[in-house]
Amino acid sequence: MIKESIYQQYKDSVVNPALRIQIEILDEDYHKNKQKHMDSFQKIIEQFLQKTTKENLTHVHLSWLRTNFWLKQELQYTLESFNENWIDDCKPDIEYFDYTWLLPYMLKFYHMLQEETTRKFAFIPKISLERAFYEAFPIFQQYVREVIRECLLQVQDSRLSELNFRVGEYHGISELMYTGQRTKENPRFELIHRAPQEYFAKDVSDMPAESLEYEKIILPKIHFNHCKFDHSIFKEGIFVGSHFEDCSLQNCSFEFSFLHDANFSRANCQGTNFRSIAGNMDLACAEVPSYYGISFREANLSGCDFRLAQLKGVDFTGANLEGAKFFAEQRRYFPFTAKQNSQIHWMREEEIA
Amino acid sequence: MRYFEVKERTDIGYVMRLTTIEPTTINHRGTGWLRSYVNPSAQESIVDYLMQNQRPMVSDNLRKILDYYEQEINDTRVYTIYKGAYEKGDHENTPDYYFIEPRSIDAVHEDSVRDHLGNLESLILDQSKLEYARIFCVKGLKENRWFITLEIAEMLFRNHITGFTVEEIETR
Repeated sequence: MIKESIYQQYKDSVVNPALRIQIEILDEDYHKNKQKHMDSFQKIIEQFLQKTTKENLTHVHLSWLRTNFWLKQELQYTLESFNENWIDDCKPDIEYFDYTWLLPYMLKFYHMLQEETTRKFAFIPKISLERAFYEAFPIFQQYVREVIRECLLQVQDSRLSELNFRVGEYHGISELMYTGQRTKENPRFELIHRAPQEYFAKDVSDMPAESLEYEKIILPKIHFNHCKFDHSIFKEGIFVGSHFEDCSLQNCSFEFSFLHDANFSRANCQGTNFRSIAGNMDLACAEVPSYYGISFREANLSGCDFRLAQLKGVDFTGANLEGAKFFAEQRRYFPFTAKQNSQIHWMREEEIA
Repeated sequence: MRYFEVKERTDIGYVMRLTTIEPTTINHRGTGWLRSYVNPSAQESIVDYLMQNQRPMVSDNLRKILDYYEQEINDTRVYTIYKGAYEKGDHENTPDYYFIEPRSIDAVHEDSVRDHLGNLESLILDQSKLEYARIFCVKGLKENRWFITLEIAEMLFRNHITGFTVEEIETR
C-alpha cells in the first residue's frame, strides 16, 4: 500500500517524463497526418449517419472505450445516436469501430512505465501503475477529439446541421463539438470557425504592419512568417493555430486572446502583454508541451507579462524569460529550467497592491 | 448492449484481506452489521473488490458507484478495525467493505451449454430478459457470479477501481 504523496512523487519522476516523450512524438505525427485521420473519421461518421434509422435524431456521441484496451489491448470507439431525450434515450443506435492510430503510442507509454517503474520505483504496486496509465488515457484521446472537431466541418450530411455532436467518455463527461444551433452552447466552436474565408490565407510572409489596432480580430490558422507587428494591439483576438515564427512582436498586447496551438518559435516578443490569455484546451497536461499549448521555443520573452494566463501544455524550451512576470503560484505548473527560474520576476499579490 | 462478468484479480500481488468477520447487530431484514480486524502490512495493496468467503465484497467507493446505477442491491456493511503493530495513521485509507447481493434475473439463454450434471459449461445471456438491468446476478448459477453492463465497466475503469477484472459474456 502506498501513500498519496508517494504516488505523486512517482508521477513526477516516472509517469510525466514518459508521457511527455510519447506526447511529443504523437504531436509530430498528428501535425503530419491530420488530414488522413480526418478523412477516415469523416467516412466513418458519414456511413453511420446514413445507416442510423433513429427518429428525431438530435444527438450523436462518439466515445472511446477503456474496457477493450483492458481486455484485448485494442482501441475501440463507439458511435451512438440519441433522440431528443439525449442520455435518457434507452435504445440508442450504436456502432462499434476500431481505430488504431493512438495504439502504438499508448502501448509504448505503458511499456516505458513498466520499465522505469521496475528500475526506479520497484515497490510501486501494479495497481498504481495502471492507475497512472488510465489517468493519462484522455490525454492521448484528445488528439482524436481535435481531429473530429475539424473533420465535422467536412462531413457532407444534411442531418448534421440539425444535431449536436459530442465526443468524450462512454456515458460520461463529453464535450460538445458541433451544434446545429451554433449558439453560445459551444463558444469555442464559434471562436475557431466563424472567421470569414478570406482570412484563411495560408501564408502572409513579410507583411509589414506596425502599430495595428485590432481588438477582437479573428485570425486563426494563419502563417505570419517574418512579419513585423511591433506596438500592435490584438486584445481579445483569436489566433488559434496561427504561426508567428520569426516575427517581431515587440510591445504588443494579446490580452484575453485565444492562443492555443499558436506557434511563437524564435519570435521577438520583448515587452509583450500576454495577460489572461487562453492558451490551452481543458484536458491538456501542464507538464507536457503539446499541441494544445503555445510554443514559445527559443523566443525572446524578456519583460513579457504572463499573469493570469492559462498556459497548460505551453513549451518554453530555450526561451529567454529575462524579467518576465508570473504569479508565484504559477511556478509549480511549468518545468522551467534553473536559469529561466532565476530570470523570471515572480510576483506576489502584496507586490501588486 | 454488452455485458461483462466481474471477477477478482489474481495478478496484483499481496492484497489485504479481512481475517475474521464477526456479527455485531442484526437488523429486521436479518442482514446486520459485521466487524472485522485487519492488520495490513506495507507490501499489501488495499483494493476495492475482493472475494471474501466466496462472496463478492466491495469498498465504499465502489458501492457508491453501484448505488448510483442500481438501488436494489442488498448490502451488509463490514467495519474494519485496526489491530496489530501498525497504527491507523499509516493506513487511514483502508475502507470499510460491503458484502453485496445484486438482484437475480432468470437470464440464461437456451443456447447455453450444460454438462450431463446440468452445470453450465458456457454461459450465454438472454438479451430480451435483461432490459434495463445494469448490475445483476443470474438465477440458476451455482457460483456467486455477478454481471455489469459496458457503461458500468467504463465507469469503474474511469474511477480507478482496483482489484477487479471483467470478462465479456456472449448475449443473444
